Amino acid sequence: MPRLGDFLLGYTGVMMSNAALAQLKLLQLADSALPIGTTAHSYGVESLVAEGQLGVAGLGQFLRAFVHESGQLEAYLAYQAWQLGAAEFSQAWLDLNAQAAAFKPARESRHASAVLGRRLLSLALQLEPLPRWQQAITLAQTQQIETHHSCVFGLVAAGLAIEAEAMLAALLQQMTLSLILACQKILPLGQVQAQQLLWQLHPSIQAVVAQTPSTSFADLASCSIGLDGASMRHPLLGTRLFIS
Amino acid sequence: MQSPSRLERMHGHLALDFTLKQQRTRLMVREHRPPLQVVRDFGLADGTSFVHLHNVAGGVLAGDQLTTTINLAAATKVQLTTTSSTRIYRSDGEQVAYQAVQANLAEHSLLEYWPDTTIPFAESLYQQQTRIDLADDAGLCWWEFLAPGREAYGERFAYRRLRLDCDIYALGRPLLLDRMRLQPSLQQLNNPLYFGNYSYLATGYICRVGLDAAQWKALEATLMAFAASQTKLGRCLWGVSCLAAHGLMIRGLSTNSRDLLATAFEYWRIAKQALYGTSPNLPRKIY
Repeated sequence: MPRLGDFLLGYTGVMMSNAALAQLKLLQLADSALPIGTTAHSYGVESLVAEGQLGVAGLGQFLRAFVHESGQLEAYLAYQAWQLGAAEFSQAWLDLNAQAAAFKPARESRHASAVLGRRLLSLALQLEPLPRWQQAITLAQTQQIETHHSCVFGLVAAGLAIEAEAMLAALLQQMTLSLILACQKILPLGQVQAQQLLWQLHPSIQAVVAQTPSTSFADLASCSIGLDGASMRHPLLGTRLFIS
Repeated sequence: MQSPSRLERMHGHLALDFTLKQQRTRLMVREHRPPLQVVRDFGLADGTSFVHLHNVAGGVLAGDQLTTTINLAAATKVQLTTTSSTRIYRSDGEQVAYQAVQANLAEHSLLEYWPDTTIPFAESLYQQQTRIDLADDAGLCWWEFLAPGREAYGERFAYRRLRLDCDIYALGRPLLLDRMRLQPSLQQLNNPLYFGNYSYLATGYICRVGLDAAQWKALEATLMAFAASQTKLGRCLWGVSCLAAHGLMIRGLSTNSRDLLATAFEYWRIAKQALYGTSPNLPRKIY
């Protein structure tokens, strides 16, 4: 049974539990309209399409693999950040972001992750000035490190008391939706078809969320050699819609 | 034919130390246990120690545990190559063929590694773990070539599982964690996220600790132009990218191995000229 303290009184007089409020915040932070620039990146997909390697027909299979591989890595990073305790936070935060950078061989995709992370952290701090987030920004500035999107997402979710499972599902949904939205700009992919694709990915997202808490650093082996290579070739494209 | 259960499992080990004596790099084999072996090193004109790594078993069998440690003292220069392709034999059970390499590069040293192609046979299970630690101004040129199987035999992605890790650390910090798990029964490897319509994979890591980002960006641009000239859709794809610091990575996918082997050396020729002002020595093989 919820206790009285679990509820807040809004100005409309509607009672809302703390859990529902946390969900509301998560919805906002994982919204594709969040102004951090998620829609400016294709992470190499633009190259795959330009090279004729990826079309609408193969998109479902491609995205499923994307969730299982890249999703595994991003979920791991977010979960590690979500778990960071107060003790030795500074070193752990630096180490995690260094790992995140090392797992991303393609410069443009790595840079995209860092830019989104920096913007998300900055935005979150303007929405709610939590000391831990301020510490993370100060560390990034003083140590001149990049803060990666998934790490920041996990850190922010922890600060807002969002459950790990919900946080991971939202992160994976957001990153997949961003890629689908990118595909809509460069492939003949309709709105309904795009939503169907995303819907069909829910079991894959669920599977990655379920396995993430038991994934160790040693286990981690997300493989996206084709996409990484495409991201490396992205600067060579004559006409580009996306930054990465 | 001997049944797999009666095959002796090998715990091979090779420990190679390289030191500098009178401006030339000398090899000391601290330990070697079969099937891994080194006969001797050859001194190249520029003082580099050139060494062939032998696996006298002809390949890695299920259950084999092969480990190699390589220590380069300060200012040493080493070039390593294999004597043939690394064949990964089938596993009838759940036993994994395992190889690990640990390389420690001291200040101002340089390691060039030119292996032949790794060929995972049908039904093979293989794990390869490489860890390279780079000290200040240490340099690295490390390549890996992976075949889809014995293509002439009709094998393409017929192995059961490959786990290939290469973790590179510079000054104690992770520089690149390049890991992959390939399991054709679970992944559709013709998916463009993986190999697409290509079968062979080449991966090159070029590092020199301490060079600033602008120099790497310039080298990336030079190598990228070369990559563009070598990329032929439907046959061969190349990509080059700066790492977060101290190096860059090159990745190639091809429908055949020759394109990769011959082109890989050209990348290093360009990079070594830019990084060290010298030309590399190409191991004497048919490319």
